[in-house]
Amino acid sequence: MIETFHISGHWEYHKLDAFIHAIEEFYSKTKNSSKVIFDFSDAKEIDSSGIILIIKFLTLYKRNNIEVKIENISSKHQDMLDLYFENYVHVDIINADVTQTRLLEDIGKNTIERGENFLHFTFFIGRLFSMFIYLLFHPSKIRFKALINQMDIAAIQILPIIALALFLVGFVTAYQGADQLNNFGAAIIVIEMSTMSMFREIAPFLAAVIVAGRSASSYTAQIATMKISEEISAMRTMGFDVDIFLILPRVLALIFVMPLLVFFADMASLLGEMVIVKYHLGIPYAQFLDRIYEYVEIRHILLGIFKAPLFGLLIAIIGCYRGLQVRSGTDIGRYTTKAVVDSIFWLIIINALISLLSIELGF
Amino acid sequence: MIEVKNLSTAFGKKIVHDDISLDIKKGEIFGILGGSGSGKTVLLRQMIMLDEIQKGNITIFGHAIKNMSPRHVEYVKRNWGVLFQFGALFSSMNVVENISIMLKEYTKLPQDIIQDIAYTKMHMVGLESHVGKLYPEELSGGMKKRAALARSLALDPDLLFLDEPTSGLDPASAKAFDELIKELRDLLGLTVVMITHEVNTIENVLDRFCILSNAKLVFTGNYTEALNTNNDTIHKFLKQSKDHLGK
Repeated sequence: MIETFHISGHWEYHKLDAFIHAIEEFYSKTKNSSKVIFDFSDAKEIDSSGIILIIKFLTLYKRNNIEVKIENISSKHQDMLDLYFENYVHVDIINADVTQTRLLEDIGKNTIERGENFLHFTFFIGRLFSMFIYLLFHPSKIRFKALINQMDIAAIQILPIIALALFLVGFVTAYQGADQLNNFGAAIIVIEMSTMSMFREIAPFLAAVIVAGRSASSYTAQIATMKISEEISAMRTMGFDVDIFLILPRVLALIFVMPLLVFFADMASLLGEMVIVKYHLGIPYAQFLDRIYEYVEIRHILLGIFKAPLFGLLIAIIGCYRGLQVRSGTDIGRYTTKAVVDSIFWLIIINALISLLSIELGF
Repeated sequence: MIEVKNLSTAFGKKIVHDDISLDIKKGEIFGILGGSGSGKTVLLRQMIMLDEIQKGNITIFGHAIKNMSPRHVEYVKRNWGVLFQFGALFSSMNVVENISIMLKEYTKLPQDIIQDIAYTKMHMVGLESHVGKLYPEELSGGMKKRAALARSLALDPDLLFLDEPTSGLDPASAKAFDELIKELRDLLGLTVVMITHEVNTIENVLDRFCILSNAKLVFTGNYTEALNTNNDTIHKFLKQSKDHLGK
């Protein structure tokens, strides 16, 4: 007996799921017969999804050498059937098999990629350095306008954030310290203790983190956008050196402004400490400052200011390098994140090294 | 299919449309022509509800766009496909995922059928199967447009909007793309609205077109009618397009 499958109703994408079960059942019932009939007499509307579903099974029958007869099909549906049959492609979903060889492959690929990345980065730094030396001998080629502009963006506009953040950090650090030291009846020590840790570690580091979050990300995004819109290519064809025009102004700007920002951060945190010490311990401002003169040497401030240019260099180089690495628009977000994470990570490492070194050297 | 009625648009002091009315019939390929900055793109964007209509109204599938109820908005949006000038493929997805996205969101079909549909549509617009796993950034301009066309056809729209479908393609690809659009119109009974500059497309593909110039609609009709008018602006426009091609 020849089985017949009746295609009835609306075989359209939003109603199709109701028919899938029926046609699958019919197929499993008839996959051993020699001939089946698809009857279209009750079909109303069929869209491409419906037709492709039918074609999928027609193809399965064909593969199993089962003859399919199509009956009572309207000419419109026949045209559609022909069109989509001609273009029907079935691609098996390939399950990604994660095996050990794949793991080894990934490790290998990653290693090579990282190696190449490191080489590129070294090359980038080398090129930048040679350009810097070149500029030292040809100072007229320095882009002063761009440099000033970058300094304005990187430093002046960031002052309010740094002021507020460091004021609050100084405030809470001194508050906590005073509270603890009060138990020993030595609350006054909090002045030199918190000031020194602020000057040496916390203020420079926090200022650098704020700059990294702001400038590293904006450098990456700016340079990446310029690269994608082929502005950088255009500059190259005009003989404008990208390092001189784009990278060095940013790097130098951060190197110059970081020490100033750190000093500003020092002062902001000092203010925070003074305020809380006055209101919590009742020590007037004048006495606070006297004690600093007496106990906190200038070298503590200088240490923070001396490491600031290094932080600036680090942030600018990472930000610019990540920007130049971007190849397509989809990368921008990823590389911007990378720039910020990398620069903060390296800030922590470098800061820890300097800290150790300075204590060992008694500075 | 689409009826534009007394549409006026101005951005600040610049008048973009001054009292434009036109009618697009079911099953035709209709072109919106005009020089740069003549408001073609704004008109198209107003039709597809991306830009606000300031004055006048546009009726689409029998529903006026201004004050359309959310239910009708959804109905209308499911029944049109839009091909943007640069494809606007989702860059985080490969070609097959791009084509499947509407099916995945709006239907309950199983994955394997969705994939069959996606590959079949891809094949229909002339892309080979291996392209399916590629990402937009790996495609050439022509392939991107084809993939985007396949995506806009995913839910069998009745109406297709194309923004400069052949710009940036080489002449052979442009011709093939024109043929493809004509073929799809005949086979699927689509109504097509497109912005174009290509004189070949204007001559061979468009059933009717309108020309926008200085914020006004200066012509609506077919190619022979346009040649037979004695309006200088229209002749100049068609001639310019031809000269442009000659370069």
